[in-house]
Amino acid sequence: MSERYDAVLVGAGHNGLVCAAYLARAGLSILVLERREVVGGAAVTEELISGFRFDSCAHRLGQLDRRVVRDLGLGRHGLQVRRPELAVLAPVLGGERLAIWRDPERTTEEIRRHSPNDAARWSRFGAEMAPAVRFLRHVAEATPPELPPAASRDLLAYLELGLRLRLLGRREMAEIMRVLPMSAAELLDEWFASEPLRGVLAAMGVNGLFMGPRSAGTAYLLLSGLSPAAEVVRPTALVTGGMGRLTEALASAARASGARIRTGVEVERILTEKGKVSAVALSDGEEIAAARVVSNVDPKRTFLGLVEPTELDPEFVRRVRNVRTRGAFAKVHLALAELPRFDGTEGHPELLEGLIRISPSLDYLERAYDDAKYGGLSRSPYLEAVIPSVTDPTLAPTGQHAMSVYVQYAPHDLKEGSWDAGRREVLGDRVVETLSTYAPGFADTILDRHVTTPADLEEVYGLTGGCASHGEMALDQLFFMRPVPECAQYRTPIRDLYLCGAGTHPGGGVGGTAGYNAAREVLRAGKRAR
Amino acid sequence: MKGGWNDEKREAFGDAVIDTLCRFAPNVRGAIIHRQVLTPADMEETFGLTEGNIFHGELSLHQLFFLRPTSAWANYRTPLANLYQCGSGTHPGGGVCGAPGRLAAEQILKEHRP
Repeated sequence: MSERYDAVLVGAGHNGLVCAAYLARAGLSILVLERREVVGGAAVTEELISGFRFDSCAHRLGQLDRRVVRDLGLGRHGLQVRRPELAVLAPVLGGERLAIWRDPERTTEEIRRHSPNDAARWSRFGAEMAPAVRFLRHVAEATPPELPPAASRDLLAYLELGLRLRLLGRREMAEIMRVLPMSAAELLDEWFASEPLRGVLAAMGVNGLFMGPRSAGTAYLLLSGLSPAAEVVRPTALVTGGMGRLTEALASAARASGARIRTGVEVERILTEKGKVSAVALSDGEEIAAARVVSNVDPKRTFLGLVEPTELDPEFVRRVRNVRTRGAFAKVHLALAELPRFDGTEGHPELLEGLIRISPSLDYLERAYDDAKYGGLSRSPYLEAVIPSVTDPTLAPTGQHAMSVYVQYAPHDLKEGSWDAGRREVLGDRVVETLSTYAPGFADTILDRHVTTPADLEEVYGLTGGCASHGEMALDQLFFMRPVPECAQYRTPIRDLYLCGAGTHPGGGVGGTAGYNAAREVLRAGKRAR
Repeated sequence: MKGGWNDEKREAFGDAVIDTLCRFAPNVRGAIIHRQVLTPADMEETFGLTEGNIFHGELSLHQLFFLRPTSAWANYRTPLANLYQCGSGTHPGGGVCGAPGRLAAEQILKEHRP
């Protein structure tokens, strides 16, 4: 057996790298093991088509943790984030487009063309949602206390949360409690009447969920995409050079602090001795001794795949099995000879700098979900596309463009058939057809395409069920219940085995907070032990 | 309903109910002496159920407990002094149980004990 590490990280996704960097900075000897040849997990940029670089999975940042950027000096390690003036372009068939800008006045003008009433309510909507948005952000940064409280620390944390809620004011507190369990549709019914606006906002509430805009709890996800500032919707944040540059910067920061990263090595088993982690076993038979193991892979893969079943309580295993990871999306990557011509975008490339969202109405979105609910691919899918080469020419040959399209709903578990070669083409065709109805002539501008099916997401990127957030972001799978109550503090029933991925609080999206929180808990436990 | 309820839709809906029953108990059709169809519109008009909602407000999470019917007025009181609510729209909501009535009476007696 080779040398023993203070901690071995399983998986070099963005959260794993964040966690590794913090642990290395604290002086622990760290080894990160990644199955693929590249680091990054689902935050990776690859040349999927010769000459064109794409963000294979996540193509925009979530709520990137400010503490991580600052503490790890990610700027020095090459991270450049850009937030285009245009956040979201929402083309509408046979009608005027809607655009959401960082400048709230411009957004209000856009909405006014669809509904003067909605325009008048836009900034009030943002202001009324702001306390909830701020509260959720605060909650995201903390480790969820156990419920029922197991220690005085948990009790204090709940008191602090309760007090923070109460200090917002009686009305604001009640409003947060009221809005969280709502559906996106119910919330939007109270505010807006114009369909393009309802459609584009409702889409934020179902991103990555196997749920429709009328499903309970989708208002929560909508809120987490809002900003507490005047811009109302959080600006679209893209990484220059591609999402992979973020994880490269994180890897560089981790290495600079002394962490070792090995790629192309697959962890097959997490070994234990007397109920305590002792080592990891690689697929080639090598064993690496570890005082602790931190798993960045999803909870199902960790507990149902890497740990000996006899080490776990059957009741715990049942709970882990019940974590819902129903994949709802696929990706289609397109190499384009020229920019697509949506209504009004010709000669205005600035309109294509942010997200392009095809969700022209709330019913459009619900119907897209209807197809998936019964195991089929959406006939008219919800699309979220981005063409980062508009502002980042390094991603495509001169004059050409790389377009990344997120497609929902594409169920991982199809009722009929499987994700075979034929189905892959059906999915690709459907995306091109859908985009072509909004951008005439679009199909003729495509040089090549690459389709990533939900089955690929699972096989290539290790996302169980094709679920990008390692567990759906549904109300019963959040906070002190994420992924299961026994692991919500990043610890697990196995001593010195921790979780640090999107399956833990605060969940999915490229943010790094789960990795940050996990590192804090590992270090806290270390202090207690000494 | 798209286009609203009318007599034609009322009867068509009655037929759909009977067809459904007959799939499970085929003799139902022959056994019918008379039928009455109450549409959601009738519920509203005849029984005063706003929008035909039998619970005086849907029983969804954001309309329960201290949010029923609305926050700050979940205690059977209203913004008008001496005006109270005691129906399904108040906690604990719909279903024939009488609990809202009992709780409303308690609230009133607490304030106006003779």
